Parts: sequence; structure tokens; C-alpha cells
Amino acid sequence: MRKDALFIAVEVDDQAAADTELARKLTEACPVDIFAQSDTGALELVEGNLDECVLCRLCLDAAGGWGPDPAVKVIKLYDNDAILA
Amino acid sequence: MSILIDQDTTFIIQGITGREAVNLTRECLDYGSKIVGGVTPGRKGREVHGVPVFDTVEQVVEHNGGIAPDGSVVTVPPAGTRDAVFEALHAGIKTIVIVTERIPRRDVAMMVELADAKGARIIGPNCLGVIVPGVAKMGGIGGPARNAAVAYQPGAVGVMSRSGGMTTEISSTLTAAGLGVSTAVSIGGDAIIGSTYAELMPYFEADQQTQAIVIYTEPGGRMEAQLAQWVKDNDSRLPIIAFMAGKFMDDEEMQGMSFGHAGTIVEGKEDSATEKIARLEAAGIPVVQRIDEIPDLVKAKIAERTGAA
Repeated sequence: MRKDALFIAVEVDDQAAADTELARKLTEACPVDIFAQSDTGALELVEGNLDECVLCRLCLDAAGGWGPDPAVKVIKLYDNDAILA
Repeated sequence: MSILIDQDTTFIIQGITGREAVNLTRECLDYGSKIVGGVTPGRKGREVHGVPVFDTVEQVVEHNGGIAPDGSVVTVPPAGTRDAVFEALHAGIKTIVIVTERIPRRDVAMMVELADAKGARIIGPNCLGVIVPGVAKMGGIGGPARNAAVAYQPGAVGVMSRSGGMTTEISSTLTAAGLGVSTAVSIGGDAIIGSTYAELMPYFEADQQTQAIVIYTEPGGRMEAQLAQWVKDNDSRLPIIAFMAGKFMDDEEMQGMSFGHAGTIVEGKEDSATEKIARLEAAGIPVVQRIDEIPDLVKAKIAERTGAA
């Protein structure tokens, strides 16, 4: 899944988005509530909060790192779609 | 010694003809700072307190014999700040103090990225700048020179603060206690800033005048966690003491209360005052909640490190 705002976009691969434990971690970690859980516990992206991102990288930590193909990507729309690392 | 600026640092004021900029130009000149020019598009040929005004940063560099000034204090309104900072960075300026607040987050992120790419350092936005007591100041920090001279005396303690006013409050307390200040940096109160506590620690570490650090912190953001991690990862010679405001916001009745700074928005679990205190103390950084507790603790920590206790 992917949602875009003015400043950043967030992309989460579908398998990770279905992981309720990861969804819980992301929801808890994000200081500006970009992540939420549905009634079933699956991950949701809160579009209205995307532009509140402070580039703190806590979601990347919660998702287990910044490897070559991370489960969660913060895409810097202001920097030619570079991936926040 | 000092960090970021010294007696030879030259800088410009971007947006120099604005009301606040005119005041801080006077304050900096009176304090002994070397302001080599000002920039306001369309105002070339004027002077502000004897400082020549130019239309562009490039014109200042030309006027300076092709040499870029060391720094810039950016006071232009939010809509023009990004362009002003880009202009300074492209001209080769390496230390940029951004006073302006309410800059769009996207613009701040872009400025920080470009500064990193250019090997430059941004202090702020939404900050009052940097002062080396008795030597120079870059920004409105400390106010008029005569007031700054009272609050800031040269000494052994480095100060970093998310609040401009609290930078002076803490420094004044350290001065009154006979400890003094090596360099004080108002790092800014916005959610994204150019230089965090952890990013400035190596500068203080390399400054032999500095024997201890005091930080002023608030709820919101991740900077304290970064600092705690930095302390764990580096065998620092410097004891750090934190002054934490806003613990009352953790009380159930006070939840939702807002501070003035944009960076104090608390949404997560990691950035409440209680969590931050626990995190800092776990890293060996004592946290005080009253400003008058700072001097004795600093003295004790310095004595501990130097073996004088």
C-alpha cells in the first residue's frame, strides 16, 4: 500500500501491512499518527497525517531496519523520490 | 576556544532591512561580531547600522573580494526562507542560523538535505542563534549587547536549548554561579531542525574550554533519544545535565496542553516528558526540573570527572 501527501509518501509492502504485530508497532512508534490499525488489526495509513512527518525514522526502526528492500519506505517527494534511510 | 563561531567569524544578515533584523544587526555589532553585509532584494546601496546592503548573496561575495562569508543569519519571511538559504549555501556559506519560524516542513527538509550535501551546518529554524561569551554572537541570542554581557560570561559549560529564552535563562544562572559559558546554541523549537543535541556534541567534545554540557529540553520529538544513544555509543569526556520542562503535561488532567514550540507536539509514547527523563537518566544524564538545581550538579559532575571530588 502507498499513500502520497505533499511532503512525503509512505509505502508498506502488502505482506508487512497484513502483519498485525508490525501494525501495532508502527502505530505505537509514530509520533504523529501516520499509522493506524483497522478493526481487524491490519495496517492503515492515515493520509491526513502524512505531512506531519518529522523524519524521525522511528517507523523504520519499528519495521526492523533499513535494508535494501525495507518493508516500510518513507519516500522524500521533495528530493526526487529518494528513500529516507 | 569555542564552537561554530569565533572572533574571526564573518557573516551576513539575509533580510537585513526587516524590523527584527535591524535590531539584531545592532546587537551583534555592539557585541563585537563581524557582519560584512546584508541582503534584501531591491535594497542594494542602502546601509543598516553601517552594514552595506546588497540584492543578492553573490554581490556580497563579490564585494568581499570573491570570498564567501563564514555564516549567514536568515531572517526572511517563511515563504522566502528556502530560497534565501539555498542562495547562501550555493554561495559557499557554511554556517547558517535560521531565525524564521513557521517555515513549511517540506522546505526545512530540503534545506537540511542541501546543507548536508554542501558540508554546511544549519542552526534552527525558529532559533535565536549562537553566542560565544565575550567574543561574538550570531543572531538575537542574549538581546542587546549590554544585556548579553551580563547574562553570558566566558566559562566552562556548553549550553544547547530548544528555547531561545531558556538559553539565556540557563546561561545567566551558570554565569551567576561562577561557572560561565563556553558556547551557547539555541538549536530551535521546530519539529525538524538543522542541528540536534547529538549532532553538536562532537563540536563540544573537541572544544577544550568546555567541561560540561547543559541542555534544555521539552516534550515532543526524538532528539533526546538520539542524544542518549550518542552518549551510549561514545565515550564522551563531558558530563551532561538536562533541564526538562513540561512534566506537568503527562498528568492526566493536563493532556492535550500545548507548549509554544511546534516541536513539542506529543503524540507517541517515546516523546512524553516522563519517557524522556527515563531515557536520559538511563544513559547517565541526570535530569533536573528546577533551574536552580543546575549549577551545583554541574560543579559536582565536573569535579567527579576531574577527580577533584
